[in-house]
Amino acid sequence: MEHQNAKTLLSKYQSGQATDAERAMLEKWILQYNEDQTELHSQRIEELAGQIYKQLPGKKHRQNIRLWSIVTTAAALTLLTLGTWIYFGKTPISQTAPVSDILPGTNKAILSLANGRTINLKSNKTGINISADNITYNDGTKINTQVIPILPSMPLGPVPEPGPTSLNTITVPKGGQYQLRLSDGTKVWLNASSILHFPASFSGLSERKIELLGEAYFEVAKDSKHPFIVKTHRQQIKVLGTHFNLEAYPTQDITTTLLEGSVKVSDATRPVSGAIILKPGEQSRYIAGKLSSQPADLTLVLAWKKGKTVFKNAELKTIMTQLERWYNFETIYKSYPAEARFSGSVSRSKNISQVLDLLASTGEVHFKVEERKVIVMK
Amino acid sequence: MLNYTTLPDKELITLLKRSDHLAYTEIFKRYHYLMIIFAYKKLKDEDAAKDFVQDLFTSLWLKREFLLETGNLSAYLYVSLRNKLLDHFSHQKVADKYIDALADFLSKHPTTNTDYLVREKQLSDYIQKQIQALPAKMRQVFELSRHHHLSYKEIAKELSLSEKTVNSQMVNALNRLRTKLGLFLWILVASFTLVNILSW
Repeated sequence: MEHQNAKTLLSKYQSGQATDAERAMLEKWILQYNEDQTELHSQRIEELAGQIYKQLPGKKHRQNIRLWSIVTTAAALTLLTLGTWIYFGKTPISQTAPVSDILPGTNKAILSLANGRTINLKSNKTGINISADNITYNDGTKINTQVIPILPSMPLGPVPEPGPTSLNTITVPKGGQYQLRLSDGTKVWLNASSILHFPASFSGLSERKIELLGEAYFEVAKDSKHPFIVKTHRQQIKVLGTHFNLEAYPTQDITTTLLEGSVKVSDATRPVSGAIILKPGEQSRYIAGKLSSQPADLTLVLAWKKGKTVFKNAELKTIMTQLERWYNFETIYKSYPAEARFSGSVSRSKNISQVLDLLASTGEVHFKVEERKVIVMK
Repeated sequence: MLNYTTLPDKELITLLKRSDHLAYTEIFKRYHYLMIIFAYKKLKDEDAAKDFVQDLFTSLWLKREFLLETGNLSAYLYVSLRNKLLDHFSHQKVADKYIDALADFLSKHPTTNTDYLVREKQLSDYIQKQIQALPAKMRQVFELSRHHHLSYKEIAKELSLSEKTVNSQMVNALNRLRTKLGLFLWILVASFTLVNILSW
């Protein structure tokens, strides 16, 4: 009898159907569950803590870039032609990475709802669909969005003010990616290390306004009466219905690349005067408060969305910054090939060692992988 | 140079919201032990406990901008970890492992109180008990920061004074500080005091 109750209780909790009383019961249970369990030795706890600490995000990059004697100019322009997979095609794909390797990123994101609920989105799904009254995975599976009630003063999370216009947030960590479809049908592909704020529903709003920090590709649903606006920390983009890629990481210049339709890009502080309009195939850059436009290299810009890491005539630093986000590691420069430029293309499903081998095959640079650190050597 | 070890939790949250990594590290230093114990007790598996705690602190950093300054850090961490554990326990593949224990609990506790206050009290009692059970050295880390941020209510209770008296004494003290130590420090202390006033 109690067995059946217990079973029902857990499965109701899992599916988000549990009542307040049932949740309270589970909370009470878990607090007392296994309390008399023999504790870990404090030394062991500190060992585990040390391992956790090493993996924590946000550590400052050490400023130990030393420029060794510069690579000869003759070797400066290095071209890797690896559009084809001849080299990697032969190597068997192993499921587990060797000790000194880092696995590629996966589908990973945290959804924080305006009602205070946070959900770790599943890695075996690729995206979610938002609508005014529910949220599902893109294969139709329902996501439990009910609040787990605790005293209002307790959560540190967003202030609960449920309503269709309050903002939800999807956070994609380093080593992650995720897709979502907003309530108006607009599709968003989020790249690693990105945060997007969006309302549960746009209904009743004159503008469809969202905020991005990081990189995303947008396919905006056409609706000429309700302009779609993407705000970033310094720039804003106004569109009616269009396809574009926006790269707005806090430490980099903001790049907006248009594929289809038309967009108006402007300074966040002067949306009217400083605006420029992009045509398909063009790209705008926001550098030190100034916007400029130029023709874009679309294969380069869209590579991430197509599951590739592509670089063309790029400095090592640019490549490493990009790799750090997808593979979630930290680069330590013991040497820096200042004159070398690299070009190449690698699938995002490869382990880091395979990408680094590729770069090293030019002879310009070598790497050592230690846990989540990549050391750049001569 | 700011001494993070003596900062109260609330100050750490304010700094964390500004992406202060030292504040984040201090929070980790302060709470890793309690969190690892909690996760380990419930999971009985070192590696799993490690993963859960890592996940907990990782999301704390990722969501730092959205934290509420008035929140209670210890309750936040416990509730987040508890919810992560409950999500895990109720997952179909693992639920069977816990059915017996839960069924046993249900037979002893046929009903429960759903009142928020009661539930919060339960949790804060649990947290207090856990802090008390810490090894002396770990507990000190807490006490160092804790006695700096007693609220008026708590000070009044300790000294058996009315809150109003304590309040006016604080204001006097602040005024004295203002003249002696200059505006900057005053603002610092005042804003911190204000946080305390607002939080109860």
